[in-house]
Amino acid sequence: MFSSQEYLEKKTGPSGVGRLQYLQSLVTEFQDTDKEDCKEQVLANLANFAYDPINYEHLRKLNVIDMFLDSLTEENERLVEFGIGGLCNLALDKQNKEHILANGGVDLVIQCLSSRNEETVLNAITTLMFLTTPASKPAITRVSVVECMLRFQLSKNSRLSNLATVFLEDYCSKQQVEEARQAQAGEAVGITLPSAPQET
Amino acid sequence: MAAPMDKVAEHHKQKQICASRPAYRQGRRDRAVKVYTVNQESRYLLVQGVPAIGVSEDLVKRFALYGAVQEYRILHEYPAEEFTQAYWVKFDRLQAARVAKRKLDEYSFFGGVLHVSYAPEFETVQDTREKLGERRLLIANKTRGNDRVKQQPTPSQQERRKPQASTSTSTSILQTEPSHGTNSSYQETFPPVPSEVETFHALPAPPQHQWYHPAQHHSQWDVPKVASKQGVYPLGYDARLSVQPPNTDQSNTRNRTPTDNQAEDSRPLIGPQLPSKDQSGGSNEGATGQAVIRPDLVPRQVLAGRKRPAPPGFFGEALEEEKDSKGEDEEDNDLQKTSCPDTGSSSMNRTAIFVRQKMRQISQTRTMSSGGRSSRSGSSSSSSGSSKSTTRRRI
Repeated sequence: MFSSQEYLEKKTGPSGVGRLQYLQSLVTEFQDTDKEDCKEQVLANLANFAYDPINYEHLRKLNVIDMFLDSLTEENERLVEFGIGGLCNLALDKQNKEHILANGGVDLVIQCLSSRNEETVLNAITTLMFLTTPASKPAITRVSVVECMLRFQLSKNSRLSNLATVFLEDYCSKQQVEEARQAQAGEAVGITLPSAPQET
Repeated sequence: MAAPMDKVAEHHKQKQICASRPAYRQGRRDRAVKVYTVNQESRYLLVQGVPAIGVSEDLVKRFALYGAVQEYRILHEYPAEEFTQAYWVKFDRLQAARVAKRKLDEYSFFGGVLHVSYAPEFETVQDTREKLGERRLLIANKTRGNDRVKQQPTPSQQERRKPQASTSTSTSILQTEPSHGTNSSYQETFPPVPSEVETFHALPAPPQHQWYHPAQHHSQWDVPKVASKQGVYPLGYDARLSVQPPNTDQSNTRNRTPTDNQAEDSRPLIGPQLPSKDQSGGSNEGATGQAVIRPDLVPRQVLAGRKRPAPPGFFGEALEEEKDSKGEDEEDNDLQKTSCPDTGSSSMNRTAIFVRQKMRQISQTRTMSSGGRSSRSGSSSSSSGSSKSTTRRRI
């Protein structure tokens, strides 16, 4: 599933471009280019690199995590999708987690829950799950988030409802779920569809 | 658990290949711009473009090359091109599904090109939970190794914290609280790495366990450990590290009955079923039936040829008066000291022994001309019947 160092060395060969150098050139292109599709391509490439832990050191060194966090506030939906995908891939590593939490990642990810893009929302839910630590848990399982998850749970989209169910069952206490339900029942507006959730 | 099939999901559709990549980051294969996270991947695959010519078995065999396929179905209601079908394939493991998807996407199969995509909408809640848990474990395992190796750049404080968190995340799959409360306990069990070691990052950690040394734990009946837990010794294989040499005390050996011998040799042996051994006490062969070199054992044939005083009771009739006291031993002595080969039956042995004794006496009476001998012979002939009965007192 993951590459080993020997595999990488074998693939690049003696005169090839090393992994760090390659990632460096990707980041440089992202910063220098003006074309949107180039940015998308590079960001997607980096997000896929974030899947393999062998690259984590390089990505940290190149501040790619910050790049992902910044892309969450972009207008381009695809950039948001790829950025949250990259974070989802990275978020399980302890150091990465700390970095994301230290830079206000939780709030940015929660904002992604209201995206129209299915993949963005799914990745956002998973990223929240992966970012949960005793310190961040109160922020991640705040009432508004739990309410949102309750709505997702009722969705016809089974991927969405599955993830929401796992979030509610494994990451929230029963008390929190109850509070959110009551808050929801008290709302004047009925249950909104997940395609356009309006978060307060 | 079926997903609504009236509308094809976005992630089932094949995206357009990106053609505008600069050369330096153009990969070997043409790909679309797409990001795969744990959410996109799944054990369930959707295979489109399979020619509808009855190739189910071949298709599944192809997929099964990459891992165990739990289930597969043809999705008849799935919108497919003419003359093609869509298949639903469920793998046992996510990793197998990943490899299968990578290898078989865009694969030419019986005239059609396969389009393989993940189908996470078919997962149950438990499937999703397990998938996320697996991802956690994998990352924890991978990053734990990284933290230990790379000691140089990070200060020792962070070194200690990282292994704690990753081990705790690996142990608690779903409880995502890398309990900081266990900080102190972890530090107690694993002392912090001294700063001098940081400069030798290539050195492995000193061994902390006493590994099993076969030479040390060495009792006579110790069985050497087989490499695999499921390993079994082949039949007849003697796995003992050392074979106990037989009791060198001659009298003890001879006083044992055949049944005693067998019981004592086979009782402590922890090993495979051994072939039953021959019941003669002085046998040169070991308990296993294989030739075991026992330097203390000497063949009976050699012993018989030596010029030794005859053990008591060897000539049954000649020492008649001593028979009463040595009745018990006599029987065994006769059986084990005579040089006649063992016929396998005790009664036959006794008969053979008696005959040989008789022959010896006859030869002795011929050589000797003294009256004592003749009287003895007379008594022997008369008492042959009684001697026969006395020597065979123990039935």
